[in-house]
Amino acid sequence: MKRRILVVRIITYTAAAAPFAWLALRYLTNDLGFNPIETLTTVTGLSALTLLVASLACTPIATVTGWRWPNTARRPLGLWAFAYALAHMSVFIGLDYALDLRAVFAEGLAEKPYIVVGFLALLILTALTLTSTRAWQRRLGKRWKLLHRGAYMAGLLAVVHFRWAGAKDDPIAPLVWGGVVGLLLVLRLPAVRKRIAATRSRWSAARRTAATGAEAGAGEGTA
Amino acid sequence: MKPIPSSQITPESVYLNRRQILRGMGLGAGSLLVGACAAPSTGGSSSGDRSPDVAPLVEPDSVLSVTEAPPVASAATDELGQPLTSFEAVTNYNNFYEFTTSKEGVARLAEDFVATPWTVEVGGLVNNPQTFDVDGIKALADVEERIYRLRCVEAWSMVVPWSGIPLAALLKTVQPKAEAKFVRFETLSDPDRLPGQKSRAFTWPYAEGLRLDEAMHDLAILATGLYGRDLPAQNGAPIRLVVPWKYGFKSIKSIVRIDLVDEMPSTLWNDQAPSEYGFFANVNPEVDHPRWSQKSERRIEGGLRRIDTLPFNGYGDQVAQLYAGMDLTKWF
Repeated sequence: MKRRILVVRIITYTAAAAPFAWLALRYLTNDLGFNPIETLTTVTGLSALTLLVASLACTPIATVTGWRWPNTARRPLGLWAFAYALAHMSVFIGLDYALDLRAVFAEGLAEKPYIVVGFLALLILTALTLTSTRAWQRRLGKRWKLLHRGAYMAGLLAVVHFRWAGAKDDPIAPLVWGGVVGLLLVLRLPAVRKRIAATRSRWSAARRTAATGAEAGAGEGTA
Repeated sequence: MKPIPSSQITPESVYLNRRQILRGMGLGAGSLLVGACAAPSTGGSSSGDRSPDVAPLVEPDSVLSVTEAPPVASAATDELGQPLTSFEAVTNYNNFYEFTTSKEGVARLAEDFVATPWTVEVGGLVNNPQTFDVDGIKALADVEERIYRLRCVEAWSMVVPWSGIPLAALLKTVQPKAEAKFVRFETLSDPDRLPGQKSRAFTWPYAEGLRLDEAMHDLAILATGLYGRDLPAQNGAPIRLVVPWKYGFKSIKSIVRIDLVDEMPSTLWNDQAPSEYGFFANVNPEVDHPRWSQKSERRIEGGLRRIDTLPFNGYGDQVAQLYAGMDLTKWF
């Protein structure tokens, strides 16, 4: 079991760090394209969205499959999503607008709701990142769970941001992302969750009966 | 934050390609002596820093063919003193959804696009409907170079040396009828050659339009080339519209049909999102766009700093009178 967690960690961290590494490599080989800021913005934004949705998917996957290991990937995926979202906003304000905060506010907040929506998503992710430690989990008790459901709100905001900010070229992609987040949200509804858990335990009970019938007396596991 | 020098934004493959071109041209030491006996360059207009008797082809493995002359332009800047965007950038950073929505993926997908034979059918409300081939259009007026700024609605811009003829020359030839008020343009419809047209996200074929007086304006051209070469496929071969005071999406590529009509024609981007892309689409820093800044823009190869976007993309003196009395925030 421990070994499996280690493997999950390694895969999670490698996959999550890959876009950063790819951008670094492209920077070092002078290959960020003809519009480097656009490249940086797109890659960091899409990575943040992907990792956030992957993090949201952990619990529903665990619910449906009964596996425990997806839960160990949830926190690192969420933290990496925050890192990319922060990089995304830093590129936007620091490079694209060259720290001209007045322009960001005048033009951004007044006319471009995507900036507000994206900023809200980042604020939520910041709060979740700061309170992601065990100490904070203990300190907040029941409220911690409530707070961290905000991840779904961040996911929905991120999808809206994606639809409004970019994606002129692809009106379908944001719809797909929105559908995925919606599905994950449905899978987390208590009623749905209970039903899935009940179905699963019925199945595994049936399987166990079959298994014990076949290899009578065999141990339950090697743990 | 460490700035990204402009030298870093050309992909390595392009550098390599460029070196190969230089080698192909025989621009090594002493090459001008060797070149003295070679055929003259097919570049068309002469440029100051290039000897006319450079050998166009000296290596068998050269990427150049004789018809692919080295890119040339008559000046290094536009009339505002802003430097030309490199041939590499102009031909490798393209919005041409008929190939792909990835701007840096168009050139590769367009490599095998065959633009010959090609005809442009010109009809609708005209007295003299005609079908032209590209040479026929080039014969309507002197093909001239026009160095224009190209401002994309996505807030990036370039400076491009086009060559072509005034659109007015073609329109005069077909003689618009009195009731003709608008000109409608249509791109080739052929999903086999333009694979992006298989996407159902858009209503193909691409269509664009101009009001007749806009179309008759001398700045509006039908471009058949850039940098002294035939128009590359990724830039809209073999013939495209260039309307420099409007956002780039108005400058429709690979045109096969031009119709004179009496009503404002429907156009692809206007259909797609009428609140974002107006019919007129004049470059206007006073009209916001929900996605991109229209107050400033990033010049490709122009470094990190944004530059201010000019009304009518800097062509206001020539074209503003076309819109006298119009509320341009309503007719954006």
